[in-house]
Amino acid sequence: MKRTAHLVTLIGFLAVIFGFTLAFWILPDQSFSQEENRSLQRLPRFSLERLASGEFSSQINEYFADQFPLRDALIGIKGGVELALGKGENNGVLLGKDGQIAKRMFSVFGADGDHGGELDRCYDDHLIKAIVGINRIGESSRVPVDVLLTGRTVDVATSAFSYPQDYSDAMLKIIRTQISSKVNYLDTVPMYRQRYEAGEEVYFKTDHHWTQLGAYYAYVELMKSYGMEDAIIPIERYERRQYEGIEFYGTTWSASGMKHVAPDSFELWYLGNEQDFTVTADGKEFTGFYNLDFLAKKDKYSTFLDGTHDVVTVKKNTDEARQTLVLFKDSFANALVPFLAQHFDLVLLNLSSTRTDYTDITAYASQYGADRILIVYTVGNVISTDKLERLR
Amino acid sequence: MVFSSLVFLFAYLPLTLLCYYVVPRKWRNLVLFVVSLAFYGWGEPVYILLMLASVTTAYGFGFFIEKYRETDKKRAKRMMILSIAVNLSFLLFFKYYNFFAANLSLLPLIHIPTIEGLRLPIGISFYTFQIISYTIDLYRRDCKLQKNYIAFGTYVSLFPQLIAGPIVRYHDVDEQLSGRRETVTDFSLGIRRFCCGLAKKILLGDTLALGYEYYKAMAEVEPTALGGWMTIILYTLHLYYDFSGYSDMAIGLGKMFGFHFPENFNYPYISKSISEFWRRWHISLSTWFREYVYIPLGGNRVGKWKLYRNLSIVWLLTGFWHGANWNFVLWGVYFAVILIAERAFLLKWLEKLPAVLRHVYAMLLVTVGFLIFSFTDASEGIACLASLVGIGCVGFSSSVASYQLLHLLPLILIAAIGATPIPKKLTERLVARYPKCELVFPILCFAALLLSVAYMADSAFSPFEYLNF
Repeated sequence: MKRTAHLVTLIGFLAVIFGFTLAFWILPDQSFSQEENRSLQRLPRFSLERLASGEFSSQINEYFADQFPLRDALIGIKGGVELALGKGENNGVLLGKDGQIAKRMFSVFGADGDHGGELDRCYDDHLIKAIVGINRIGESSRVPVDVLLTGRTVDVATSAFSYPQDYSDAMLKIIRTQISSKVNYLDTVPMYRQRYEAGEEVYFKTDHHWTQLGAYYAYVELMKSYGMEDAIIPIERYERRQYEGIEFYGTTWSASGMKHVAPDSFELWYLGNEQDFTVTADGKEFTGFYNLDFLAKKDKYSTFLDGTHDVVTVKKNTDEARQTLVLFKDSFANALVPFLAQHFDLVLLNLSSTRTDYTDITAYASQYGADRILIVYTVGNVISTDKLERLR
Repeated sequence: MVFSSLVFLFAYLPLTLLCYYVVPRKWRNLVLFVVSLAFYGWGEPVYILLMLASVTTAYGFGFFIEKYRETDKKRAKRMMILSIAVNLSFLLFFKYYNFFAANLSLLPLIHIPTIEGLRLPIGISFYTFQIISYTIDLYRRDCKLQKNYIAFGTYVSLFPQLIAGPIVRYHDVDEQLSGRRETVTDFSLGIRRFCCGLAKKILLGDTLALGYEYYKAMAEVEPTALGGWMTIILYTLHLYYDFSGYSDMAIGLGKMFGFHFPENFNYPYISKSISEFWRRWHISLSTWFREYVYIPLGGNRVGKWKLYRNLSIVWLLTGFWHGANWNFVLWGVYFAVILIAERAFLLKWLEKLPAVLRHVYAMLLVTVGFLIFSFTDASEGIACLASLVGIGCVGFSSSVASYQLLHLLPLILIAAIGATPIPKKLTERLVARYPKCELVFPILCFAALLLSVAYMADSAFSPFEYLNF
């Protein structure tokens, strides 16, 4: 028996090692991972200088990890083991009730301007600095400023997780108490929590964004705060179009390695007059608010306004005089646009852009002739970047 | 390169095994020498030259030592000292120069510039000690002169133990260098050992490290006593799995090529005293210091005060060997004090205590020792130490610290049980009773290998977050 066991070990090990090695070199390389929405490392170029600098070896390591055979299956196995160990999470993504998942840790920005690493809790001093940045705009702006700091999934879907909500509450409390009355702050997280608990799908289960239903509720709150309650378009007037066979596996799902978690469904809302609107996204023009090409891709949230752009304008083809609303925003605002565009001409400036810095709100607001300013920024970005504290 | 990487497992290792077993026996050392240099040069190719310089020095001086050791003892001794001095000077320069320069410059009127970008050559502390072992063994006539440069180079550079030990003394492998036999049984036992080590490092060591990093980071925003304890407990477990896992892989790989390296760990966390702990932890290092420093100083066979002096010297050196930083010096002093106290009176007292209390005593001192070991920043270390008794904390625990503990508990329990001989004893008993259970070993091996590979494939998994746009 001993002899057999030794032979099995030997043959099995060699088969695994050589099998994977052969498969690795024979199988063609992939250039892009749909699942993770990023380019994969290709075989790095070899040169003596690159070897000496260590660049070659570090890229070869990435190359192996990115192009490894059965990679997706292996990642799924790892996710399964982590959950089986009772950790309740994998790669910083919590697994909650009914297939709800949420990113738990955020890379938090330290008050001293350094990144403090991935933590549960933000640095209070940094958060206060960010709020002070918003308050500064409230002081100086000649037009009304509204602020919508959208919650993260972990702030909203609290009832799905055993993970404590203390930090979430503490963070929201700081925002609430520090924000100046010169801006109009919409404290929406409690409303979303309630609706989530009541079973409304206000946020995606597998993506970090809100759904269009979630965005609609924000629209309602905004209209109320604008004093335009009467103009709110009631929810029943929208056709909520579900797309057959469309399964949405969001960013959170991609990070989670939890292959068993079911996809979200994806719906788009139509009022019927979408063709009256012209969207110009970094020079690219199209009608309606949705780029349906993205429905066939993994990154379905990019259907809204064609995904990430620096400058987007939305205009209605009409003679009626409309006010201009300038949004300083991140991707959450994209799902909100179909609603707001019914009442305003919109200019959206991507506060998270890596190409252009839009933190000089005063200058950009007057450049685009703003009648109103709206800041839509998720608290995830508030705590992990220094954008808000640099607002002026 | 490290063993716990996909490149090692699925490019380097198969290629090395293939070359090694395809060539005739007389070329096998050459194969090992060449692939070991490639292994070493993977991250820092320039330092291959440094290692070759060390190898050549010791190899060359070897001839003189051998020539004089029978006839002119004094001259042989001088040659030995010279050889050691050259090799130690490489170690001192690359590992300790900046430390001494920076600290001496703190004194008035002294300014020694530090050298920017002086990087520590990987494994230099390990292979320098191996080289010294050869030089001393030769001088003491514990071994024959190694005339074959390739064989000697193989001894020093042998990739399984090159970068993290075990530190193999020359006289232990002298004969294996020229006349080893590779067998199916050894190979299979090597595979078992390697897979076990890989799993220890990847599945336990690395995941425990994440827990440790978590509590350490949280201590900055919200220090709690529970967090402090978790930091050092997780670190203590992590260090064992990381290091002993690495040693297991080294020993296993050695077996695949017919080598038999000494054991490096023997369940250190079941110790009942610090003296026992150091007989079980990083055994090859303690053995090296005992054989080449402690015993030459007179060892145990001296008066009380000289014994304490010897212990102090050895532990100061042991501490400093671990790194050029004050915390390592302090760590060495810490153990010197405890070991002297144990020799002087503590062991006698401890014997009267129940075994449980002796375990608690030993593990408490070990974990606090690793606290000193892990914090190169003194103020952070002191803050962590203070938090253990609640000083500077916001409370005993926080909701998230408790939540995290609850979710790490299964991992911690597995790690704690795995650090005792229980799993090994159970499987041995099982196999003794039901011989068919031998087949459990290959199955466990493949499970360990597969899971480790899964964890490795995921570690570079970094989804692109469009959240930020």
